[in-house]
Amino acid sequence: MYEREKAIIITNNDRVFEAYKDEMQVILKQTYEEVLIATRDMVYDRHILLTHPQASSLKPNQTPYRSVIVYPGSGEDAMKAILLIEKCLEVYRRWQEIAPSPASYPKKVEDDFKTIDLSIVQNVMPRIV
Amino acid sequence: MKLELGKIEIKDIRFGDKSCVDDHVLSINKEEVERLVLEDDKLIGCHLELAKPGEKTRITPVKDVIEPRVKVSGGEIFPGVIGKVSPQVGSGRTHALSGCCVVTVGRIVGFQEGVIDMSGPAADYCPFSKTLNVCVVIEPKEGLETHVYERAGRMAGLKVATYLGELARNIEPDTLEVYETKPILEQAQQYPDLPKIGYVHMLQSQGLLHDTYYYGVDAKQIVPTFMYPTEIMDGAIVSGNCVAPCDKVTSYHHLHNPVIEDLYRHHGKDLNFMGVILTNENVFLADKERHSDMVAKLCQWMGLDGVLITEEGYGNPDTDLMMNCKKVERAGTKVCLITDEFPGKDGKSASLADTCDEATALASCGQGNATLHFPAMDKVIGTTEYIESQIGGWAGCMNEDGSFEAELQIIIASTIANGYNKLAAKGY
Repeated sequence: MYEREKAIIITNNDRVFEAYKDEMQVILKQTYEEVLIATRDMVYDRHILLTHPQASSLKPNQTPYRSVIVYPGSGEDAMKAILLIEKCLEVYRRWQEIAPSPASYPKKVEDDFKTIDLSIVQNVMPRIV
Repeated sequence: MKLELGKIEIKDIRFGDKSCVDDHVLSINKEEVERLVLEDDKLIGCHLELAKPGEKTRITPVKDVIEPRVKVSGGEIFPGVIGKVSPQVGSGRTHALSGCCVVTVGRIVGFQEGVIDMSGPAADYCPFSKTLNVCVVIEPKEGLETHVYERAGRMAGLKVATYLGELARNIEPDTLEVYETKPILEQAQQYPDLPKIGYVHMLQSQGLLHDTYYYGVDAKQIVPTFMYPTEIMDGAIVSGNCVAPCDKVTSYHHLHNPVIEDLYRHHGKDLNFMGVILTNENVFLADKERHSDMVAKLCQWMGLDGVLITEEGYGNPDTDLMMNCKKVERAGTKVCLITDEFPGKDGKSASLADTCDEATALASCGQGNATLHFPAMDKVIGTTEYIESQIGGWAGCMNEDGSFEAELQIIIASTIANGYNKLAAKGY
């Protein structure tokens, strides 16, 4: 149904970037919000979402890392993707108003967040076949 | 399937020379239990501590809470994880030590474990502030991968709960409850005039540290299926996740699922409880689409008039929740959702991360953004070193005297999205 080489990961997690940069296109961004914005731009430009942009149930102000996988596509799925990513951006901004994301985390905690984020991508990869 | 659930009321817990239950008092041989936990070479430290309601005690970081149960007949408890997978559970007889819990304590990851206060204002929000708690405080070997340690922590709690549950095998229970759900055609026949109601049970299954186990199978590997409700009472589902404390469905909550207990209370009176449709919460959008289609198909196939749907977690699972709602309603079954809310401190923002037109009936389990003052306690089981990084805390929220401010999110099960709590929202 899908071809791995055509999927694109948008991430600000360097461990995701390192793990997949040799086998597919990986776009590395600096912040969580930049990942969402880059995803939105891709979705408006003939891509669909393969993964949910809020995976992990960590609220958008509770993790500094985010990875999303998009895929070339259009039609009904693209319309759904547009609605979903716009909703996710809205939810992200709402949580920043509730309490902004911490400026930094202790190294160990930051590593845990990277591990969680990477694991989500790792779990999804076998589905992209 | 017909299950007899015998409950033995535990009125006190203490350490003793021999582990036993005598006249409603649970005595525990501390060294024996600690040795049992340390059989796992991933753990280098384990000590037991007891916490009782009313004490000035804080337990944190809490990973899981489990009620000790034993299968007297009809399979083994926690099948596929502790007990054998076959025969299936859900029938025969089960004994439970009621009123006491095993609580696993220790840092799993830097942010997702919660707090239980045994007294004070936070105790009002937590069901485990009112139980007698056997706390299993664990310490991992250096350098373990997070998921290896999570598994060791999960198994430690389940092993201790199984060990204590075994003490209940030959004791005459104080109460005996009988639950029965028949095969689908017979069940429909039993109360033909009552509305046929089901329960769509969504399991957290998004990835590392966000997993739940069904007969030992990682729930993200399953497709939606049917379960007899009594299987869940026998530990067919165990928690393996570290989601936000407030809406974490612990293994205790699986054993005591309030939706199942309440549906059985109404069974044969004003509704016909047909059973449970088990599904999961996915990251891959194609999985969401496929599984919500299958949930709707199962509802239709079972001839359900209505379902209750619960979720675990926030954000991504809200999308599964709404997809299930939309498709089940469109397939002709009425839906009532049960969930908690995150609408900001003032309660004025949107409560969920997703929505749909068909979501017209929802029972709220309260909102997790409200803040609370947590006074200093005399005793801490575990450590409060991570409070500021735990979900619900923030940089600078901890005071020097050990008190802190935090959102309700930090309390284990305070806004649990299946209703095993006291919070609600009312319309005026």
